[in-house]
This record gives sequence, C-alpha cells and structure tokens, in this order.
Amino acid sequence: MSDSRDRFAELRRLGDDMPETDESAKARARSRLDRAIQLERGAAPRTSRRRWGAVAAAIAVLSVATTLFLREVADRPSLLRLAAVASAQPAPSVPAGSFVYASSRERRTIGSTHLEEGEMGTVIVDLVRETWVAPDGSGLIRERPIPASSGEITRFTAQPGELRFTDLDRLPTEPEALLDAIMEPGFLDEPDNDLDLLNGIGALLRDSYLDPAHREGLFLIVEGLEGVEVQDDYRDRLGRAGIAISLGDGTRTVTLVFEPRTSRLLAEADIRTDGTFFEATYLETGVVEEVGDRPGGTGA
Amino acid sequence: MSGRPDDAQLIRASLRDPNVFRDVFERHHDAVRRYLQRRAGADTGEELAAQTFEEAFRTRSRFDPAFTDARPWLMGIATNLLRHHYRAEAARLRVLERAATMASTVGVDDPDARIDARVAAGILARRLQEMSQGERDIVLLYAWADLTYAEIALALDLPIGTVRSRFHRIRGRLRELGSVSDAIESDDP
Repeated sequence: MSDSRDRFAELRRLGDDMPETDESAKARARSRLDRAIQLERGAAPRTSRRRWGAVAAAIAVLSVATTLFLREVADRPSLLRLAAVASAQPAPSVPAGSFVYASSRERRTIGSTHLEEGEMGTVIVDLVRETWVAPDGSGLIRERPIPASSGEITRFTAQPGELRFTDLDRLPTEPEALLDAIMEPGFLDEPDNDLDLLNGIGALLRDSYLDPAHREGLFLIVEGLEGVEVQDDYRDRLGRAGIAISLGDGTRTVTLVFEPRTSRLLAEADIRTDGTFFEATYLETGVVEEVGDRPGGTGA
Repeated sequence: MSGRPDDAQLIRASLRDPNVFRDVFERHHDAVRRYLQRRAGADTGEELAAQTFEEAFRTRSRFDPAFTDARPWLMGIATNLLRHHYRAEAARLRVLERAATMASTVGVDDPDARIDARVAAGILARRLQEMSQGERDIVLLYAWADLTYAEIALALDLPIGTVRSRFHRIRGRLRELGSVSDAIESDDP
C-alpha cells in the first residue's frame, strides 16, 4: 500500500542525515549574533532614515515644485543629473507574452567551508546569469559557471509570481509618495535599513522596464538618502564609465553604478566586512518574444 | 507571572535589552540549522542559519507578539534566505537522489523492503526537484520543519487557504506516484 500519507512519512526521513545538535556550528552562529548585538548596542541612536521629512516640510513652507526644490538643496548633482537623464528616456513596453531578458556576470559568496587546521574559508561562485522574466513573474533563470568545468549549468523555471517583475505604473511619481508606495508589501516590503532600500531600488531599476517618470522618482529617492556618496569617474569591471552611488554602515557597503548617458544600471555590489559579497556586472538587456531568445535574435 | 517567558515576551524584552535575544537563539538554532542543512547542505545550511538569526535580530521589531512561538517566523526568514541559494538546494536534492540509488542493502533482514524504500526516497528527491520553489517551501516546512498549516501560512505570509489548497495539490501528486513498484516503472528512463 502506498498513499500520500506514506509518502509524507518517507519524505520526513529523506535527508535526515544532519545532526540534531552541532555545538561548533552553534558557537559560530552565536558569535555572529553577538557581534550584531554589540553593533546595535554600540551604535549611535538611529537617525532619521531619510531627509524626506525635512524636505517635505521645506516644500510646504516654500511652496515650490519638488524637483526644483531638490535641485536647489542638492549636494550631489550627479544624482539629479541621472534623474533628469532617466526622465528623458523613451518609454519602454513589455507586451503580454513577452519577456524581459537580462544577462550579467556575477561573483558571490555562497557559504563557508572547513579548511585544514580548523580554519573556515569562503566559497565563491563566478558565473554568467541570464534571466527571462514575464510580466506575470514567471520565466527562467539560467546560470553558467565560469570556467565551465567548475560546475553544471543550472536552470530554475519559475511559476507566475515567483520572479520579481514590478509594475510601478499605478504608483505616484513624486519621490516622497513613491517612496511610501514602494515600501509596501508587494514592492520592497519595508526594508529594514537604507542599505536594503538602496538594494531594492537597484532591483527595481534593474528587473523592470519602468517608465521614465518612475525611474526619475527612484533616483530622487536615492538622492534623499542620508550618507549616499557619489563617484563620477567610476569604471566597472568591463571598463565602462559610470556614476557610482554608494552607501555604507561600517560593516557593509552597497554600490550601484549607472551609465551617465542613459541612467541604465551597469553594475552593483554588496560587500560586507565579514568577507561575504555579491557583485554583478550587467551585460545585455532587452525585450524578447520567448524564453531562450536574446535581444538581436540570437537564440540561447 | 511565573514560568519561563515565551518567545514573544523575549523578543519584546530584547527591544530594550538586545542581549535577551540570545535566549531566542539558544531555543531555536538547532531546529533552524537542521532544517536549512537538510535543504541546502551542511555548509550552506550552517551559514544560512547564522544569517537567519542575524536577520531575525535586525528585524525583531516586526515580530507579531500575537504569536508566542518564534519558530514559524524564524523558519520564514530561513526560507526567504534559501531562495537566494536555490543552486545549493538543487545540488543537495541531486545528492539525496544519488545517495538513495547507491544505498547499500548488505546486512539488512529484508533486502526487498530496503530496495523499495531507497527507490522511493530517490523518487521523492526527484519529485522535490520538479516542484516549484513555492511548493517545495510548503511541503518541506511541513515535513522537515514540523510546522502546521497555520504556521506555514505565517512563515510564508500566505493566506491559510492558499497553503491548504497547494498542499492538497501536492498530496494528490504524491498519491499519483502509486506503489513503489509502479513508481519505479514510471520513473525508469
């Protein structure tokens, strides 16, 4: 006899080869939690997440257009320039049944491993990633390791809703209202800190074909974040000139790099002082008719 | 008040004194680590378990105190972290599938029964690989993390009706496997 109840009993036994307790693993995790606790205890009282409160108040008092006001107070003109460039781009569209294609070269840590003499090492993967994402969130992710001999090509076929494809069309474009809207569940889901917010905005600019007004709004939100630093003469790993926007908290730095003439996302990085990191250099993007197609008609 | 404080009380107290969060860690790390290791392998699972508690500590102000047990919340964080490591999970499932087919039958009283069991395990590992990420999350939170439907709904931030209906479909598919011998025939290339 074999019914679904039997199957679940078998499933409970499957892969049951991990120890109930592992004191050394627990000690390592405890140490990391302790560090997080110490960081919080030692941190200065949290400052306002963003300058939008002050900006909004000033707007109310001065009764000037938001963009004009921001331009007047801006100490990071490159960000405002990127916002202006974004607003001047042609409006894209992703017809029903089409897919947004993107390819990137990525390096990231995927975990740790035991080395000799009890030391721990970090496992790094280097790969080319291609994604085909439909507006309903279905699609395909394919990762090809570099060099090819270092692993297998992996494919992840996603059902509707499993991949991010964010449609901001119905949201406001004014930066403060847009920020409130994207903090809601379904968009960025209230990021815990400004680094995660910057990461999330990078994802919105990367994964979706946004209309110019919303792209401009996202750049103006970034302009309003405390502590953002801008480097105008950045070169990514491919040697492409870009404007790098960075935000750090002492243990982690998030960087987004944009192409100055189009505001397109060229690269991003999320680097932590504990040795973990994620880096991506974006290669090609476009709208294609079918999974497996590439812009320009080259099949995968 | 007497007895040991529940998780919600600890987490609320940790907002004033972060050190209190260590008690939540001590209670749940083993279960979270084991669940993640079963899904993503020993090394990645250990790393993700550490990340789960770092993330839980950072986001503890969002814990809903209506729930006294932090386990579903922690398993939800763990499952979210897993989504960035689907390669590790795919590799782990391939290992389980291979291990099942290579398992030794030497020294067992009933070799036929052992063969059936290991073939069934291999097929289940393959079925898990074929599921969508969302389905796998639900079925493994149930089977490997021992969460109830309501706790899975909380962990994945889904309506409980959605969890029930997805579970119903998964059960149906598992039932369609039929007997082990049927499954062997249907899964042989």
